[in-house]
Amino acid sequence: MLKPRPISFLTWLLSSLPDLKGSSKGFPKHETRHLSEHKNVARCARFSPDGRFVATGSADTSIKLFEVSKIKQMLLPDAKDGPVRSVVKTYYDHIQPVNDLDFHPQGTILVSGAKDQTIKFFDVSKTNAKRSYRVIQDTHNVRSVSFHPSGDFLLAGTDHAIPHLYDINTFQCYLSANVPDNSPNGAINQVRYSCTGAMYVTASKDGAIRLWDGITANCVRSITAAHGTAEATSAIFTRDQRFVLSCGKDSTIKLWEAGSGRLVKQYLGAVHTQLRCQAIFNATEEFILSIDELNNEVVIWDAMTTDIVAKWPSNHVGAPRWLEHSPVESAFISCGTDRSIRFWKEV
Amino acid sequence: MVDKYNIESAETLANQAQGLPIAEATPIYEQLLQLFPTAAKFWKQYVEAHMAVNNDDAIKQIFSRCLLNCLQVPLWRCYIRFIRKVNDKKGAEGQEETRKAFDFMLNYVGTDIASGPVWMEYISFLKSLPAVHAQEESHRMTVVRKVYQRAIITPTHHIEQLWKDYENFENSVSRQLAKGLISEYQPQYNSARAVYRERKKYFDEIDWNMLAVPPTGSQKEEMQWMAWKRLLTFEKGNPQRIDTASSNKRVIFTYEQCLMYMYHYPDIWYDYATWHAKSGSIDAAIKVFQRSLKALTDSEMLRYAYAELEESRGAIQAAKKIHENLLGDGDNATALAHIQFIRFLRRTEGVEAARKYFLDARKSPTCTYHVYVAYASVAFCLDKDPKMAHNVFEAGLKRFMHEPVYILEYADFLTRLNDDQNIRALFERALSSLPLEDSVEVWKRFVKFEQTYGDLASMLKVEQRRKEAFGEDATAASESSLQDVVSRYSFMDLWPCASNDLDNLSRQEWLTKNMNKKVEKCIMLNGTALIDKGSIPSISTVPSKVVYPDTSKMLIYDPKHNPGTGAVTSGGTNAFDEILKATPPAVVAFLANLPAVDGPTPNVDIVLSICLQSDFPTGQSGKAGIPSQLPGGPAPATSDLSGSSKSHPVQSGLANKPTGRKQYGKRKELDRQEDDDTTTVQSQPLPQDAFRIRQYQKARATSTSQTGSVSYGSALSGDLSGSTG
Repeated sequence: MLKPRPISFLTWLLSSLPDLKGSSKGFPKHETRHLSEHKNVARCARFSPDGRFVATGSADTSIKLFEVSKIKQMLLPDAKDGPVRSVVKTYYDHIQPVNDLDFHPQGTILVSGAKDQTIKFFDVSKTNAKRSYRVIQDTHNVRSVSFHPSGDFLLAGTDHAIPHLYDINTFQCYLSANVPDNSPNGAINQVRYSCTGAMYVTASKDGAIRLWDGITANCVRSITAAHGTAEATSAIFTRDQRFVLSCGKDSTIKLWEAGSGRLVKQYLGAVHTQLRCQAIFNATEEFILSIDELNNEVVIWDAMTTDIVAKWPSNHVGAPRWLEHSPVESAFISCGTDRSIRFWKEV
Repeated sequence: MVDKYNIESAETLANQAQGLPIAEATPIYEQLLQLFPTAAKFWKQYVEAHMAVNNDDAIKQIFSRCLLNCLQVPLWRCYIRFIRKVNDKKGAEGQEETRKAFDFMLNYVGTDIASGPVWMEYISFLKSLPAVHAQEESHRMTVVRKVYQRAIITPTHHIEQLWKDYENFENSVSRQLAKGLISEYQPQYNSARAVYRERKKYFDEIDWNMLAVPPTGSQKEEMQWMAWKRLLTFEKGNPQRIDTASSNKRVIFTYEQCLMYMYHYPDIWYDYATWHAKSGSIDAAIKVFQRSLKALTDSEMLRYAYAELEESRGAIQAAKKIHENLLGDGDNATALAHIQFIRFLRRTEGVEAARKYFLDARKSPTCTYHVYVAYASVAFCLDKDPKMAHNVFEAGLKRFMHEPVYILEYADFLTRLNDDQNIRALFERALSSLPLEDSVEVWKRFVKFEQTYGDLASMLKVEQRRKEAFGEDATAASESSLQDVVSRYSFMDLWPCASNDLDNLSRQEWLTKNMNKKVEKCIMLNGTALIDKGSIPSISTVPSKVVYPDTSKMLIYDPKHNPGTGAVTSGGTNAFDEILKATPPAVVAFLANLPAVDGPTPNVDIVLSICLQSDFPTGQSGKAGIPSQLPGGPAPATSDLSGSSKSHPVQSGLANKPTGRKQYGKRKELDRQEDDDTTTVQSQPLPQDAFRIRQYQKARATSTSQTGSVSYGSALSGDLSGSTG
C-alpha cells in the first residue's frame, strides 16, 4: 500500500469534529477519455500500489494491463509519434469472467479471481508472457481477491461465506476456526485488507459487513443488515483502518467506525440497485465517488459533509459497473457494461 | 479436419435445407448425414421433407437406412405416422400391417423413457379396430390387455397415466375380474414407477440434442460422457429386478442410444462389445466391433480388441484378417502392426509362419529395430532357439548400430546367455561408433556389466574410460570419489554406509561444485523468490507495523474437490503446465532443485514412502526442500507444511492424463527452456510418478553433465535426511 500516514485528513476531521456541518469543498474538474474496449462487459479494475499500472478484468475472460504514464501521454493533445498504445498487455488465461484483481504490494505480480474458481498469478514485468505462471484452484467462484500487505498471503472472497486465506508460498488454504453465523446467502462480494493487515472486511450478498481479525481470522464484528436485505457490494478500509466505507444495492453508501460498528455517515442520492457498485475514496480520502445507475452519472460526495459536490455524466452507454481511484494522484478508471474503459484525470 | 464436425455450420445447413425444395435439399441432407449418421433430428427432418411431397419410395428407403441406428422416439413416431397413412385405406390387411409396425417399433424403442405416448397410441389404435363378433371382441380385449400389461411395467414419463387408463380399462371390461388383475399388477407397476423416478434423474442429465462429434475434451462432453456412463451403470444393475432377457434388452437399448451421441468414443464401443461378450452373446459382440470399425475406421485399439475376441473364441482366420487389415498394403504398415502380427502368427500358426513373416517384414521400409527385438525375443523365449535369436540380433546390428536402445536390448539378451565375451565385444563396437550424446546409457550399462562380470581391474578401467569419454566437466568425477566406491560396493538395497554419510557426501559434492559460484542459484531454494523479480526491493517498502496472520490458529481448508470438474484447462496440450502452476511454489522450487544423482541411486519409491510416513522435525528448514518461513511471522506448524507439499503434486499427477514425454530427446527441450526467459525455472514440466521422476532425473543427468553450467541442490541430502529424521 502507500506509505503509511500517521493520520488521514478525514480521520482528523471525524474524530475532532464529529458533527461538523460546514461548507463542502469543490471537487476539481476532470477530463475523461475512452481508453480501450473489452469484448464483453468490463467488470473490475485495480491500480498497482505505486499507481504506475492499472489492470482491468472483463466478462470476456481477459485482463488488460495499462501503464498509467502511457495513458497520460495518450491524453496529451499533441501526441507526436502517432497514437500511443496504452495497453501494455492482454492476458487470456481464464475461462470464465474475471471478478476482481489485485497487485502484489511490492512486486510486479498481478492476481485475478474469476468465476472459473481459480486465482491466477501474472508477472507483469515479463514483457512476453501472455499467460499466468501460477494458479490456485479454489472450490468456489472467486469474487474478490486482496493481498496481505506483506504479499505473502492472499485473501479470496468467494461464494463461500468465509474468506479463504492463502499462503502464497505453500498454496495452503486457511479458514477461520470460529465462524459465527453461517449465513446461507453469505457469498462474499468483496474482501479487502486494511493497510497493516491487522483486519480485513467483507461485504456479502446477505447485506452484512463483517470485520475479521488479521491474526486469528476470527470474525470480530458482524454488522448484519448493514444494507438491509439488499446485497452489500463493496467495503473498504480508510488508510488508518479506523473506518469502513461500504456500498449496497439499497442505494446507500455508509461509513462505519471499525472499532464500535457505529454508523458514522451516510451518503445518499445515488441509485445503485443492479450492479456490483463500488464506493471509493479519492487519493486524499476527502471525497467519495460512486455511480448513479438511473441517470448514468458518476456522483461525488464530500466525505466530511456528505453533500453531493458533483454529478458527471459517465460517458458510458449504460451505467458503469466499477470505479477505481488511483492511490497516488487525481485520476480514476471507470469500467462500463458497454465494454469500454474510461480514464478520468484532473485537468 | 477440425471444421469437419462443426456443429454450428451443420445446424445452419440443416436450417437452410428446410427451406429448399426437396430435390435441392437432398444432397445437403445426404452430406450432413454422412457426417452425422446418428443424428436422428436430421434424419427426421429429411424424411419429413419427403413426406411433405408424398414421396413414398424415398421415405421407405430413408427409414430403412436410419431406423435401426437411431433409436429416438420422435423419429420412430414419424415412421408410425407414415405407416398408418400408407395403410389407412387398405382395410384389414392394412390394419394388420400397422399392428405389426407398432409391435416392431415398441420392440425397439418401447423401453425409452419417452415412449409413453407411443404405448397410448398403440392401445387406442387397437381399441379402434373393428370387432364384429363377440369372439373378435374378446380377442381384441386380450390383445389390449397384454399391451397394457407390458406398458405399465415400463418406466416411462407416462407410467401413471397408463396405469390409470389400465384400471379404467379393466373396470370397464369386468368389475369382478378387474380387482384380481389390478391387485396382481399393482406391485409390478409400483416398482416400475419407483424405477422411473430414479431413471428420470439420469435421463435428465443427458443432452438429447447433442450431435455426435469426436471427443475434443471440452467440459460439456466430459459431463455428457459421465452422464451416459452413469445411466449405463444404472441400467446394467437391473434396478427393476426384471428377468435377465428384458433387462439385457434395456441395456442394449441404452448402449444403442448412447452410441447415437457417443458415436466417436472408442471406449463406449468397446464396453458395449465386451458387455455382449460377457453376457454370452459373442456374435452380438462381433457385430458391435464390426460396426465400431465402420464408425472409427482408424482406431487400432478397437481392431486389436476385435482381433483378440475372435482369437480367443478360436476364429483364427477372422482374427488373421483383422491383423492383415491392420498391416494395410504392407508398405505403410507400422512397426507395431508387424510385431503384433508376428506374435499372433507364432501363437496361432507356429514357428515357421512367424519366421516367414519376419523375413518379409524385414524388407518393409517401415521395419524398425523394434521388429528385430520382438522377433528375437519370440525366437528366444517361445521357440527356445537362442541361436536363431542371436542371428537375428546380429543381423539387426548391421542396420541399427546407431540405436542405443537396440544395443542395450542386444546386451540384455547376451547377458541372459551369460555370453560375456560377446557382450564386451558388443559394447566396444557400439561405443566406438555411437556419437557421445547417444552413448550415455550404453556406458552406464557397460559399467554395470563390468561390476557384475568383470574383475576389479576391468571394473576400474571401464569407469575411468567412461569419465574420459565425457571429457569430465566440473563435477568431481575426474578423480575417483568416495561416491564411486559406494556405488561399486552397494548391492540392491544394501549400502556400505549409513544414509547420513551419503547425505554428507552428496552435500560435499554439491558444495565443491558451487564453491566458486555466486549464491544466486540458491535463491531458488527459497519459495518466496518468485516475488523478487520486480525492480523494487522487497521488505523495505512493507509498512513497518504489518500484522501477520497466525495460521496455526486457523483451520486448514484442503478442498478435495474433483479436478475433473473444477480444473478445466483450456487446451489439452498445456494441461501439464497447468498442474505445475497449481503446485505450491515451495514444492516446485524443491523439485527444480533435485540434483542429477551420479552414483548410487536410492530407490525412489522407497524414499517417497518413507517421506510420506515421517514427521519432519522443525529444525531442518535451513536445508533444501523446506521453504524458509516468513520473517517475523510465527512459523506455522510443520506438519501442515509437509502435509501440503506431499499431497498436492501426487494428487494432481494421478488425476491427469499422461503427457507422453519420453526421456530421450528431452535434453534439447530442457536446454531450450533454461535459455528461455519467459519460462521460469519452476515451470519446467515435471513428471508425475516416481518412475518418471527418475527417468527425468536421468535425462537431466546427461544434460547437466554436458553443459556443466547448471548446479542444483542435493536430492540425496533432502530425501535421505527425511528417512533418518
